[in-house]
Amino acid sequence: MTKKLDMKEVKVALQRKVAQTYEPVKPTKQLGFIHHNVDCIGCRACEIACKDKNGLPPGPRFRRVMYVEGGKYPDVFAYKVNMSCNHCAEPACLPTCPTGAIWKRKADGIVDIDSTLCIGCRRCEAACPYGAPQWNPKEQIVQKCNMCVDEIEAGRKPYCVMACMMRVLDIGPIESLWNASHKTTAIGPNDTPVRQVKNMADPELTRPSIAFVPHSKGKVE
Amino acid sequence: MTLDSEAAAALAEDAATLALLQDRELTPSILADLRQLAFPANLGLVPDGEACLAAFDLMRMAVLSSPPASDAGALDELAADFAGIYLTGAFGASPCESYWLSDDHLVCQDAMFDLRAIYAGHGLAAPDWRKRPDDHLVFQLQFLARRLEAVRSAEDWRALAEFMDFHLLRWLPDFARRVADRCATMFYAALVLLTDAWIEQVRTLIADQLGEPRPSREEITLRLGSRREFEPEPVPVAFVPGGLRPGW
Amino acid sequence: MNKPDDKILNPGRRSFIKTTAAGAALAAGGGLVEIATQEKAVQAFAYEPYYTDNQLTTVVTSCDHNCGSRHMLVAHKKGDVIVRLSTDDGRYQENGAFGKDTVAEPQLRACLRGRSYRSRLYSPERLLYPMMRVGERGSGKFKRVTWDEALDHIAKKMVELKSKYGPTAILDQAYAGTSYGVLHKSDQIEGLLARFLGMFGCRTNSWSVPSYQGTTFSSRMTFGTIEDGNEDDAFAETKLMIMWGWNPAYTFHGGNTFYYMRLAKQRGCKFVVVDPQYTDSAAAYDAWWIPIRPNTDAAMLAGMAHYIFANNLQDQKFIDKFVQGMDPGTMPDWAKGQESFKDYIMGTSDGVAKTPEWAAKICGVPAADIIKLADMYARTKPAALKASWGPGRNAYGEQYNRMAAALQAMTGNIGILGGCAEGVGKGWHAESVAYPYDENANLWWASIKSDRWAHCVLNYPNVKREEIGCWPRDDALDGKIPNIKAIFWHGSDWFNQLTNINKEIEAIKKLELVVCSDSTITPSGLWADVLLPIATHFERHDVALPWYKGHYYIHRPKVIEPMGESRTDLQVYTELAYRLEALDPALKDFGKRYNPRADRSYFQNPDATDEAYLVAWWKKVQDHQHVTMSWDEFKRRGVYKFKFDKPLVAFRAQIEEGEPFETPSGKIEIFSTTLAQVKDWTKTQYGYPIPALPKWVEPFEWLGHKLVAEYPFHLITPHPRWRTHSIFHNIPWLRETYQQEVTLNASDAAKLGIATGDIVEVWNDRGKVIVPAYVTERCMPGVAVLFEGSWMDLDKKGVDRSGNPDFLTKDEPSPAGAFAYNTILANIRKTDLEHRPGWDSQATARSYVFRRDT
Repeated sequence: MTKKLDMKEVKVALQRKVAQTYEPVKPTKQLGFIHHNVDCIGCRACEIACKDKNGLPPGPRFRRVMYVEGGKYPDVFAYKVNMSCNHCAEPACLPTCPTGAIWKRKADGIVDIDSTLCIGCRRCEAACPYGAPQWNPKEQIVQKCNMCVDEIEAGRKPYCVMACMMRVLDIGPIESLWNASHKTTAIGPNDTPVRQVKNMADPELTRPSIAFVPHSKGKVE
Repeated sequence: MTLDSEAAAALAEDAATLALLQDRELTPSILADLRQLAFPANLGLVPDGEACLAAFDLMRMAVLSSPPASDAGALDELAADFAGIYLTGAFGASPCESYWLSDDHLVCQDAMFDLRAIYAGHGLAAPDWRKRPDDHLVFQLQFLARRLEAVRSAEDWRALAEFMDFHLLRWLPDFARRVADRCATMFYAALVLLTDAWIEQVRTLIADQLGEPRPSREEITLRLGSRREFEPEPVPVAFVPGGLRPGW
Repeated sequence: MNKPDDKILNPGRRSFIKTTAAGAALAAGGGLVEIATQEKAVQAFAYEPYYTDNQLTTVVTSCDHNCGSRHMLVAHKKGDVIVRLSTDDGRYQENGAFGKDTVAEPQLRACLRGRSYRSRLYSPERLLYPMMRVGERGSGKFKRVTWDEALDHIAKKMVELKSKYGPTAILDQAYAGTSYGVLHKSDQIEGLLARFLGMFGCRTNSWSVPSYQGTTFSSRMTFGTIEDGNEDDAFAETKLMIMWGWNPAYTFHGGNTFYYMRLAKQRGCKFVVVDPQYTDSAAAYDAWWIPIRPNTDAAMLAGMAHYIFANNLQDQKFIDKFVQGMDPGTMPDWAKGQESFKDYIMGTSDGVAKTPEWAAKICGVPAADIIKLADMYARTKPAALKASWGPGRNAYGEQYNRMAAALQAMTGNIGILGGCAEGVGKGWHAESVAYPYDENANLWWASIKSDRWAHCVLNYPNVKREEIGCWPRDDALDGKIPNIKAIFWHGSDWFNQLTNINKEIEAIKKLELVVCSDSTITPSGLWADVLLPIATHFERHDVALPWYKGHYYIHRPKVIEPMGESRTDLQVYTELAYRLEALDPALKDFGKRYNPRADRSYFQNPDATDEAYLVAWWKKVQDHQHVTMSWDEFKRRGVYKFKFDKPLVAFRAQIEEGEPFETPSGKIEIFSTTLAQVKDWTKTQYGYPIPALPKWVEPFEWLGHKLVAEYPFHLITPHPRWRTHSIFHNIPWLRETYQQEVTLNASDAAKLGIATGDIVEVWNDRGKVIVPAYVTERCMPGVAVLFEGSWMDLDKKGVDRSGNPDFLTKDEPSPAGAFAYNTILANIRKTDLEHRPGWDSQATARSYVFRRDT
């Protein structure tokens, strides 16, 4: 039985929605990931470490190593783009959440989902340009990388970073990663980090806190 | 009262029987006894509803066609099927709750600890959890039997119903269905389907008894998610993390 | 709502438990037991909190398989259950701290397989009870038995077989697959099974090593040792790294080697990858990719040698001082006038100059590239030619390694930092023996090439000794063909992993006893008669030593108590020894002699005995390796990392201080003294002639063979990344990251109308497998790649649906014993038969490869 619409109420609600703006949380020091697309051997230790730590079933992957290859035999190239959640400065997921389960931490800018509030509507999954939110069919909720906040709070680093066998994955203050002033094994002596690689969504959309050392074929002009 | 103490005692016997039949391999004397009792006709529960009647019927036929002591080959087949279902996970259907309810489909997960706590609250324990974890089907059925023996009040029935809703019923139907689809012998296919049907019907009887309808899957999920019973004690870390040291 | 009572309750009910004898007997045993009631009645359900690391107990241990490395795993436990794993983060060693990761003491980070170990430990597919076969061998039907039943059966059969068929009746097929530590040692030649069968008095040994027999032979002949390797940190110091058939991005070969190579790259080192595929190693090191036809490596190396000689780029001073047989001037006196390596290369002896042009026709690499590479290698100082094991796994594989050694020697890149003398490449010498070890370590009455057992069984007694590579003996048993009637598998899945599986299937039907010890039911296990559940390395006390490179020890405590009824191999063989001595008086004190520190109670309580062995072993470490840390301190920390003043490089003492090499002549032998002096090859373990010099010998199947008309693809079978051979095949997290698939060149696939994901048949006259295709530009035309280790899954017509390439390999090892794993011609076409990956496919998360055109 449909409810009879009260047009006055509707008009007030519409105005309220239009009037609402989303003020993104400005963190004290935004943390972000950096990944070296060339030196990465694509071994997936980071993915499996994350799955083990978070107790995920086969299916959802918080961290996703993506293989890119191209060229024509024998002039071929290959590299890897490794992303989990980019903990964006203006996350697309956050405002879509109807229950407010998604929130951005003030201290370090980590975007997290409170699983007790998630109702599994999957709007965040649709909104994210990077595929970070992962639908968990067992729990019927959406989950994603939270940069292992429990490890950060204990003074350590995320499991994926500590798992990386080539030391090409790290976290740091994102500004310092972008200008290569942060000392990390992920950036080699001759490397220049970038904010975007080929086929990645425009960073102006959500301002992701992610840095890459790109392959020459993966650079964006 | 329809489910009185006599009924509860009879159902307790049923549960214990179903547990015993899945506890270890079938021997010729067990099979002979089952035939002699016209199992499952000897059970306390009267089957009701299409699924339950079908399950009872299938079991009846399986018992009638069960092999005699002289047929070593067929007895070995049953032992191999038992091993495949209850010991080696050969059919992708473990008899342990953790496998079905844990995120990573492994045994010895949180469900085992939960059931350990529940059993402990009633003075019971699994004798060697490394041989058979607490959340194994046989232990849950045995626990059910004990609780049925001890039922005195509506509260007891309610607690029993909650145990079934939060544990057995969340995975037993899937287990039964998968095993019945994949296992090699009619006997075990019938046994798991019978167990599932029996649990289902008892739960419905309890619902009728209490006048409280069975909760839906969504309701159960909601109730599971909203209870934070305890926080574990932090354990002192064996190695002090220390500060970050420079890398390469 | 209220039903009458007898609609619910059956008036005819009768208690199974009370009224039957069987029921009563069952009720008496097993089941929930009573304990003292807790004070608080716990609610029916408790919310599962998420445990942070600080709330769990931390235990350092390691991984344990024959992968190519040995890394740390840190178990986080709640009670006696491991909740998750992490890895070395630098804080566990002496003077460690979180984040410490230096060149001298790198973190030992585990790979994806080690990280998934919790899935293996708590898999519902663990083998936890002894089982015995019911039904046909290979049908996979087993029933549970008690340890008594299983062990008594085995003991009885062993005595029967020895008495009926003699001391060669039992074939030892142990391997390093699991149980690899200093105490619980599963090893092909001298492990716990070898000791057990040897002391029992019935053992046929399998002497050729699947991974690297060709390479081992080459290292032994050329350098006199398999310790011809650099430690992993040495790899940071080179200016040119030629990775020949080496893909550490997949095999994690050698501790942190691939990480040190990244440092080399940052310092300007140039990389070259010689491989039919543009592997992830080629991509990560930005390498110059030289696609080469499989099995033609010796020819290309010969072409390079020619260029170097022709342009006088060789290091003649080095050659004159250290090398035998490189040229006429360095031939030994007793062989003066015989063909030298230079004679062979320049064609003065056989009239064929092995020019780059000659080589190009064979190997498919343009002569200009061969010249360019030879020039780079000769002129760059220092340069490392890492001639790895893969190309040695083929017909005459030893010639490739020997040829590579000649190049290493002619350029003087041996014994110097930044160079490389590797064939096998064992570096630092670890103290590896804690298990009982004495003159009984390797007793055998016949010893054969490992993948010729099926041939032997199927043709016995009409077998010539050279056909199976009988290792010579000094007594009457020399050359006697073994009468094999049983197989024991220990740390090995050899039935799934050796060549020509269809032939093995025929042969195994003739055996009378097959025993498989493992922690899961492997494809080999499915063909066994008795399955023995073995505790994983998390469930037994041991110490890990580096598998290949690295210089450290990792303590492996018993992290959790053994699950189910599992026991360690040492417990199993000790108990069997006690039972055998009861059956056969000639085996007096077998139990005590087999395991001297234990007694009969070892089967139930191994802890004190294991501790005793390890304490004694640590004492050896302290004495021989100048370690001052106490055993208790080592146990507390979990890891001991050695620090050296400079990176370990093989043969420094020989080159810098003039110590002789361990060869007959004391020099690097390109012309092998041993081989040149063999009179009758059939009396050696090789069976067939092996030239004294490295030579190009045509393989029995390759792209230059006329069989290409029928089977146009050369199939290679490298090691996968998501399994350790066949281990971890049944782990869902790993399975969802990769696919068992055959890699095809894009233009080849286009001609056949095959796209990525299409299911294809790969076949030759040895067998047929079904597998999806992966089409890429990163593979050279004419070559197909199919990773080894997939768990075989035969359909009713004998076709393997899992894609195990060993249905296509031939059991024709090289004279030196190299397995011809990479010598396969096959054909490929689309099929409508189904591929069976062996698990419920997940729709999501399968790793995807994005193709970009620019």
